[in-house]
Amino acid sequence: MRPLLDPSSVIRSTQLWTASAILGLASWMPSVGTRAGELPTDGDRERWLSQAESFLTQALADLDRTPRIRRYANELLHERRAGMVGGPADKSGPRCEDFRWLRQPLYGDLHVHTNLSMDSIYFGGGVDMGPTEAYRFARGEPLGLPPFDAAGHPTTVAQLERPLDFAAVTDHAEFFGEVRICFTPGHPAYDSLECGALRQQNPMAAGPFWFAPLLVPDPPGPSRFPSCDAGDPGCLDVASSVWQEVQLAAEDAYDRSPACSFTTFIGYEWSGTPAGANLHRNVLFANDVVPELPVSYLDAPHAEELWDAIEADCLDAGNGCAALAIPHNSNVSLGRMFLPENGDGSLLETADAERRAKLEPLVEIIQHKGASECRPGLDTVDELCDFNLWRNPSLLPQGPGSPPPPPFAPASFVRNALKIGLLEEERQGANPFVLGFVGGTDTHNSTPGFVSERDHSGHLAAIDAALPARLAAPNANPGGLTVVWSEENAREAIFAALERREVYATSGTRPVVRMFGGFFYPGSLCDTPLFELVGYLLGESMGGRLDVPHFVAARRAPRIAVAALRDPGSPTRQGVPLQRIQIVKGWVEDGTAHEAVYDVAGEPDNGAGVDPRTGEPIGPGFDTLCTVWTDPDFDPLQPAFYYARVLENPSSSWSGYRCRAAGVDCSVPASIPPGLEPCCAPETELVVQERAWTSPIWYSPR
Amino acid sequence: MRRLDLLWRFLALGGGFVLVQWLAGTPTASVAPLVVTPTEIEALAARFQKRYGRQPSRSEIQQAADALVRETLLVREARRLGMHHGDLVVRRRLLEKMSLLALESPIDAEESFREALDLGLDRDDPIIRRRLARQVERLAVIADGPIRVEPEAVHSFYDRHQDHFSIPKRYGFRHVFVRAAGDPAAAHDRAARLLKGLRAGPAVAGVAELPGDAFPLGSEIPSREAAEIAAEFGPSFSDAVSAAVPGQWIGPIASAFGWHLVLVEAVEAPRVRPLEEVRTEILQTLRAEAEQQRIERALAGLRASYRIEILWPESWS
Repeated sequence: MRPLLDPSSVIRSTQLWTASAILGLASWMPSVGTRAGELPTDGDRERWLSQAESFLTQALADLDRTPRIRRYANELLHERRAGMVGGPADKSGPRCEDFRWLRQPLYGDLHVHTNLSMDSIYFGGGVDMGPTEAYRFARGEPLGLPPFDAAGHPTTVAQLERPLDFAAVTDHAEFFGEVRICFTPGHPAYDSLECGALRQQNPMAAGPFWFAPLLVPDPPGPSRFPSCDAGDPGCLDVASSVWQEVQLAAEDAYDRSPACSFTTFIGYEWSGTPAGANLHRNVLFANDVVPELPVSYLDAPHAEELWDAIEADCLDAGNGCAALAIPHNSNVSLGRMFLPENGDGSLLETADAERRAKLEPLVEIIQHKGASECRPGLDTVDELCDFNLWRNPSLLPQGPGSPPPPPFAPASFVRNALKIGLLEEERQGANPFVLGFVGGTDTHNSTPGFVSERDHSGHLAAIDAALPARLAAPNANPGGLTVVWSEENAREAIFAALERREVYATSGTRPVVRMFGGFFYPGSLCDTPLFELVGYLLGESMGGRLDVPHFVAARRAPRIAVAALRDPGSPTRQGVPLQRIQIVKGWVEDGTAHEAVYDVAGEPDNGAGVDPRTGEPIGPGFDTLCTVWTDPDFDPLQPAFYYARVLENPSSSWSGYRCRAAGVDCSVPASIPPGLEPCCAPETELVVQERAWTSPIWYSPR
Repeated sequence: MRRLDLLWRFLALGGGFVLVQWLAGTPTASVAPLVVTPTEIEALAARFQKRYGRQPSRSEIQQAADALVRETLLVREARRLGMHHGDLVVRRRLLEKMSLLALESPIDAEESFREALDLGLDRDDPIIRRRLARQVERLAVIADGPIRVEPEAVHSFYDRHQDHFSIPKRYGFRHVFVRAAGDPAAAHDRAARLLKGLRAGPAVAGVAELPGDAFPLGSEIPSREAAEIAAEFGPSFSDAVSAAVPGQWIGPIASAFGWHLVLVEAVEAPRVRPLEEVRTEILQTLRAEAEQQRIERALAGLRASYRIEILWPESWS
């Protein structure tokens, strides 16, 4: 090893750092000779690791003078370095041309309905796009949307400007077979009342048969139609063939070649909704080994039974099956999604909590029915929670004459659930709500990833195809995306990222965000290209848990290293610059949970906004943001979580674009066309701040 | 090794007895009938109509009927071997059906299972049929021991499928990122100075250090198509990478994020992937083919012990 520089100079002087860098390129350059098409060799990795080691040896010496702590940090470094030759998590090896050992962000949508879902059909408009069409759309092909004109031609054509890297079709598992039978002339159940109602393709006619049984009874008592097994084949037999179509479509669209251009996952949605409380989960499978049938609310009326079935038919089947469940729309769960108790009302035991954390490592924090992060007034004073808030507290329809809805419950929101998780961990030893964040659309139009505010033309077939209907909905938005940090675009790698929660959600745009937590990150981390490598070497990436001996936590506070790139935009549309990065912290003090929001990078008062005439974003912002933040209020005895919220500058929402295009000027009442009155209602969000939420990092006292 | 593992698991699950029976062969000397009825044909046609939105042709129905025969052969074999008694999926399904029948008596699971069998609830259940058929297929694969794929077979497969292994033009590059926050002109100057240093080349041996700022997408971008680079960094950046002479540092190039110094290391012409790279893939394909052959062989054996008849409904004849 060549003589080391003065340690302090590396940290404090970028100039010197740069000079030494230019001089020291010798062993980095030879890999120019890498043969075409070769993946990075272990030699390349070794060079990077050596460079990081040399950087950190100096930085750590400067960071802490306590010998015991320095020794601990160096041991951690060497242990991690030894384990990282094959990448942050060594696995069976690369399969794809674009394998990156330090991982890459991949964009996807894990919540997509097609014409296999009963509601996609009764929302009307003649939607006839199945899983195959959905996957084609995700890969960038155009798709005609309802309503269809008399000649059967779509009135709108949608296309993604930026195709997705991965997607999962997750149709409602309830009534898979029944729906198909209703469109099978000659089947004995074809002429049943419920089938007739479904074929009207009208929610008023079909709802009582097809949604009320899922929506109303509490305690749950869903059952199949008496006509279900009226003929041969019966419902479950047909359901099984529908399920096989789901699998086939996923298989056909999955690029198994080394180009790895697109990945699919087999999945379905379990749609439990007792008394309107949305307890829905998307079940996602790691590979093509899946159970014979999906588990629906009709078969498993409680979440516990869903988990039982996932364990029995998949995890414990010994056939390579692996799965996880992702709750969504806790915002409309009436506080029931994150109850820290079992279905029978008993308190969670440690094993119950561990089981839940294992089966449900993620939560969908944004989709078309709103964001579920937090809500002003519900155990928070965070004003930025006022974003994409769905206005109904449950899925029970609200209309004139219906009883007033119950209030929103604090436990409906994810940040509060994370806090409840900390309290639970204190109480019985295990945190049931170790939740990473994903985003989805929940489109019912077979349009995965159709999240553009400019292009938003509805997600619910004929229901919201017309602008007045869309504006009248309780604040729908185009939904969000899931971003995974994965070595490559393949099922194994992406599923592993989901399991370890190295994922983040966005409200639809594509900022790149990396976050690491640890006790030893040098303050100069943003001034080196070693950011992510050091991130993995000295701490945990998003979704992880800080686990250090007490003597470390007693003397040092956790540092959160977070770096973001703006959404670069598409060839025809610029992305919006970044405004700031926040760290949201939750912790437990004296038996109660608390939260705090810190602005850690960027400029909250940068004066950026939206040009009221054009709707274009104006004002200064940031192309990149990066910081190493140290928790100023850390107490080593308090369990805590940290997640980053990355905010873009303000931009127009879909309603902003549409109302402006319609010539609405709220100061001139005559300019407001009939049906577009909501354009000028105070609760309509015409301007939004698009954002990303990273999965949290947890700290537990030891 | 994986296959051996499967075998052990199978044996551990009580498959030993079944395996011995299977290896001992079919004891029945007489030829039993297997009939596809006109009603079954009609049902197959109706299912086809729903799936494809049109009437099936006669040959399409023939195919569906063949598939039904195939499944029935496997299911009957499973029953002969008693596989439905020990199978967990069958068991769960039958208990589920019993509870659906609302047979209230609080009998225990074992009793309930036997009653379901007595009632014949397993007979025409599509899930149970599929499960049993799959289990017999598995048995057919396992019973003949590990599958060996000859090297010549791999070569010949590779030669026959060259187009399947070809890929388009791709670029691999390294880059040094200089963020432009604050004063873009100063950042450009800094980037230009760094470029000089990079071009001057190595001066000191030993552990090298890379200049530049943190960049969350990483410093090494292996093997991307131009369109993919454009999506990640912006179109003008992608154009510069496509035009670059490999092996030479260029820049500063602007991206959506700041300035970059770029070293294109690899330009991969459209090419066919070498055999070594795709060997595993081919092996998997050939193994799967061999497994299928074993299943077909077993089925041929089963077919010989039945008199198979397809009775077409009048409307079809």
